[in-house]
Parts: sequence; structure tokens; C-alpha cells
Amino acid sequence: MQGRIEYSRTISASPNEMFEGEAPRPLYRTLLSTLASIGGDAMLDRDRRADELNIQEGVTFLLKPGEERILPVDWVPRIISAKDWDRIERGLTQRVTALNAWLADLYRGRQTIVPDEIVKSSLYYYPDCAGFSVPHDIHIHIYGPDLVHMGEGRYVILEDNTRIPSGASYALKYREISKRLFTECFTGYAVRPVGDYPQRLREALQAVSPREGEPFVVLLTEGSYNAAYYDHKILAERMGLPLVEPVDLEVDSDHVVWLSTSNTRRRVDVIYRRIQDLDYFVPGLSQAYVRGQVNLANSWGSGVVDDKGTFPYTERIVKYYTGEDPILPIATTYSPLDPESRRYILDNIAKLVVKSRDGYGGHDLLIGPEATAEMRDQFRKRLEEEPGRFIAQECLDFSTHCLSKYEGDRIRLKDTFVDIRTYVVSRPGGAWVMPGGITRVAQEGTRIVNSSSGGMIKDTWVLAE
Amino acid sequence: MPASDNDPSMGQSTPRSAAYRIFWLGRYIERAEGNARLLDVRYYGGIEAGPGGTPSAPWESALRSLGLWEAFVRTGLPVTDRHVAEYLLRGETNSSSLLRCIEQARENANGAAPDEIFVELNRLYLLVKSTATEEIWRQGLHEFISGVIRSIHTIGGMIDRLWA
Repeated sequence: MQGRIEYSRTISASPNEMFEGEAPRPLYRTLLSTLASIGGDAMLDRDRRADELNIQEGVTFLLKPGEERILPVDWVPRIISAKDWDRIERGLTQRVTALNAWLADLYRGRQTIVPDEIVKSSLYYYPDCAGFSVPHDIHIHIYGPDLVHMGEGRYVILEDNTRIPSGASYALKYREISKRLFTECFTGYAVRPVGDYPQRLREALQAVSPREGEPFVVLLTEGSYNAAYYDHKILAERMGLPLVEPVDLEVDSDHVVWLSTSNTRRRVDVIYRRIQDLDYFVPGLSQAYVRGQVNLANSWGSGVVDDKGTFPYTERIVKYYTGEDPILPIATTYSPLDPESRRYILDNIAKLVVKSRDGYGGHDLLIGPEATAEMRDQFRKRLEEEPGRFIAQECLDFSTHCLSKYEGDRIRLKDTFVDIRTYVVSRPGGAWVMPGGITRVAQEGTRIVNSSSGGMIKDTWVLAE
Repeated sequence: MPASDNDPSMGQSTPRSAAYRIFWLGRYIERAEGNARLLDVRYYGGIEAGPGGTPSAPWESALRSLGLWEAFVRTGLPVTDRHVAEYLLRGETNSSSLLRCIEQARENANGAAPDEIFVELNRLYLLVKSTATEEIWRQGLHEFISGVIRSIHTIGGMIDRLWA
């Protein structure tokens, strides 16, 4: 039955999620036999049709103005058991609750966990927000952490994304295409739907209006030249929110924000903002915000948590604000500001990952084991010159999944590192975790999974039972 | 123009920038259809002799009516049926070619109109952009143009349903 599927193990230090040794894991047996019955030729054909659908339906991102690209998708899905997901769900809820509480304390001038020199040197710390309390103390309405799996259900937080986590619409869209083109793969699996996300997010945004009465919520985009415009327009449409551009908004002398419509103007209560520089785009918006006339999601000051300099302290933040041990650990992280840690980093750079605090998307980082001696020396030098700009993490042998190659009738599966971008919606009194997300697949031979660094994407199935 | 308070498609919640783009979306698909029909009629009308024989410059009047005669002359292309037709369909220097009109309509629809409309326009854009020239002539110009017009009517129907 599985004669047409070949798996070769190439990354021996990491657990593969589909196979244990050479044998399929129980979770994947049904899928593998379905794939074998479809065969390589038919999979390749569907793969091409899926790309064609993405092009036709405009599921693209902008590489640069005028250059639209589809994201490469590997349509063999990743499956996560109900038991593993339950832990992730509880862990992310616990974590976002703590991070929200810490941010609330930070801007009230009460936090003591993260050293002041780190907070104050963060690009995304806004002194203007000091002394200002956001509605329901929710700073992070949309939380998009990246996790890796160490095997046996042990997931680890690799990065927090708390400013403008993007990509949820791709998770929705790829699930739709998956259902349309790879229908029989779902046989035997109770896959939880991801399509509730827009509704949940809309409710969460309506719940944090600073005013009484029916709240008016809009999604603010920079415009169609933004790389993530697809994400903006699809989420706006599915949430039933107007997609507005900066020219549509105006702040009056009472700091009230108005949307100009085709025939009138409407007062805006909550802005799901997909822009970072508020006043540059909408003059006066930050004042309207700190005066409580409008709410922003995520909060203006939420990005401090995105700063990787804060990351080493987040386990303590979770313990302090929830009184519990973190359900999801973080990758062990060192700050070169601490002399002892600095020495450790410089001596062990070959086995560490060094990231610049404000880097993102797989850029400006060093993966010790994958780097050349020259690259390591270069980062050592930068670390010594500007220790405050970097952090270092243990290089993890996190899980691999499979990259699928179709050769004639055969399906060849190869080890490849994966992480998962998840989407969490905070709302008054709790949080909701999208059961799924975007599994990012690295190119062969590297741990960098970001699509901007050439990785691929997999639909992610969370099972109901 | 009835629209509920939270209906983002039109009325009280349509941002001004979106309304502006929807206006241009309409203009461009009308222009695309008009130009396509003109090409179709003139191309096939020129095959038979007109009253008093074939007119001396059948394409000159058509191109003049579109304001494109001077621009066409500047391309240096000979005034043949095929060259003019290809210029009107997708001429690179023709800023009101069928392809450019559809491209502009598509850009204006993106994010301003419901995604369903954008997807239909995108399919049309890809069809007009990607069909090989040889394939258009193999099908026949009329067949190709008819397909384009049918698609424009589908889009017009979607727009009507939303904003009629």
C-alpha cells in the first residue's frame, strides 16, 4: 500500500512528526495510505492546480510594488493531536494573559521584572503611553507567537509577535483550497475548523470600545502597496469591517476620530491598525488614542514585547502574573548585557542562535551550527561592540516534518524543520486560540523557516479528538 | 441607496477612498467593453466591401474615435487589421488597451470591492494578459472578444446585485 511513498531520514538529531525511525507514526497512518492511493502523478497535478487557484484568486503577497507572488505551499498537511493542542491552547492563553498584565503595569510605571535599560531602549516603547490605561487592560488583542515542537508534545515558544502579527487570512484560505483539492485526505480525521477566526476577532474588537453603544470598528491599512494587503482586505471583508486607508480618517480638535464615507462621516471607536507609524499616516491619531477617544488593536505600546530583549524575562513575567509555572517554556535565551552571559555567548557562539533585538523575518541572525567561521567572528565582534542590541538562544533540535517531492508515481518525503505561527485573540475575561495556524517549512538544510527566507507553508490540522 | 449601518459594501460605511475606486472600477470596465466592441465591429466590418467600395482608411477613423490615431502612428507599425487589433488588445504603448483597462479595473477593485468581484476581474485580467497571440487568432478574434465581454457582464451583474 505504501510502496509509492519513500521517506529518507536526513536530520537525525530531530524527531520527525510523520515517522518514527522509518515507520509512520499512528497519527499519520491514514493520511499516508490516502496519499499512496492518490499517487505522485495525481498529487503533482493537484499541486499545480492549487498554485493556479492561488494565482487566479489573488492569494498573493507583494514582493515589491507591482510584483505579486504566491506563497509556496506543501499540501501534505501537518497534524496536531487534540491532546497536544490542548496544552498549546492553555499555554498560549496563560502567556498572553501575563503579557497583557505586564504591559498594563509597564505603562503605569509599575513593572520591575525587565531591566529599565532594556525597556527604555526598545524601538517600540512609547513614553507617550506612560500613565495611560487601555480598555480592559488588553494591549495585545491579536497575539501571533511562533512555536517549535521538541517532540512528545513538548512545544516551546520561539518568538512573541505582539505588534501586527500577520498571515491569518492565509491559514483560512489554504484550508479552503485544501478542502477543495485534497478532499479525500480529510477522510478519517476530525479536523477543527479555522474559519471562526474573523468572527472571534470582530467580537473581541467590539468588546474593547472606549464608548458606550454600538461600537464602530474599522481595519486601517496603509494601502494596496503594502506587502500584506491581501491579509488586510480578506480579514476586513470576513469580519464585516470597512477597510480604510489613512486618507479616510480624520482627527478633529476634540481628538475624535472620524471616517469619511461616500455620503457622510462616522465616528470611529476601535481601529484594527495594520500600520505602525500612527501619526505619520493619520495626524493626531496617537493623541486621540492616549486621550481615550479611540482604541487601537494592538495597543500602541504593545511592541515592547516584540523586542527580543524582553524575551529572556517572559518566563518570569508568566510566573509573576499568573502565579503558575509556564505551561509552555521559552527557548533558553541569554542577554549579552549580563557579563557572565556575554562570556558564555562569546565562548559558545558555534552552538547558539544570535538575533538582533529588532530583527525579524529571519533577517540579521546567526545560526551558530549552520554558520561559517567568518560569520561567527563577525557576530562576535558586533556583540562586543553593541551587547545591548542582541540576544542569544540555544540552538534547538526542534521537530522536522516532511517536504514532499513527486517523481512519477512516487511520493518522496524528506526531513525539513518546521515551526508554527499561531493566532490568539484576547478578549475581556479570556482568550481564544485559532485551532490551527501556519506551519512554516524551512528549505532543506536550514532552520530558518520564514517565507521571506524561501520557506514553504503547510496547512495545519488540529484534531477534535 | 439602502445600506445597513454595518454593511461595509456601500453607503454609510464605505470609506471615501473605496467609493472613489469603485467609481473608477466602473469607468474602466465600461471602457474595456466599449473598446472591445468597437474593435470587433470594425475588424469584421472591414472584411466586406463598404458602400462604394472599401474605404481608404477604415482604421484611421476607428483609432481617431478612440483618440489613439497619433499614438498608433508613432509606433511605426503598418496599418493592417492584425497590427491594429493587437495594438487595441494589448499594445504595450497603448494606455487604453483592453489589457490596460482591465488591469486598472482590477487594481481599483482590489480591496474596495468585495473579493468575489476582484477574483472575477483577476481571472479576466489573467486571460487577457496570458493568452498567447497565436491562440487568440486560432480561436478567432470575435470568439476571444466575446469571451471577454461575457466575463465583463458577469462582473457587471455582481456589481449590480450589490449596489443597484
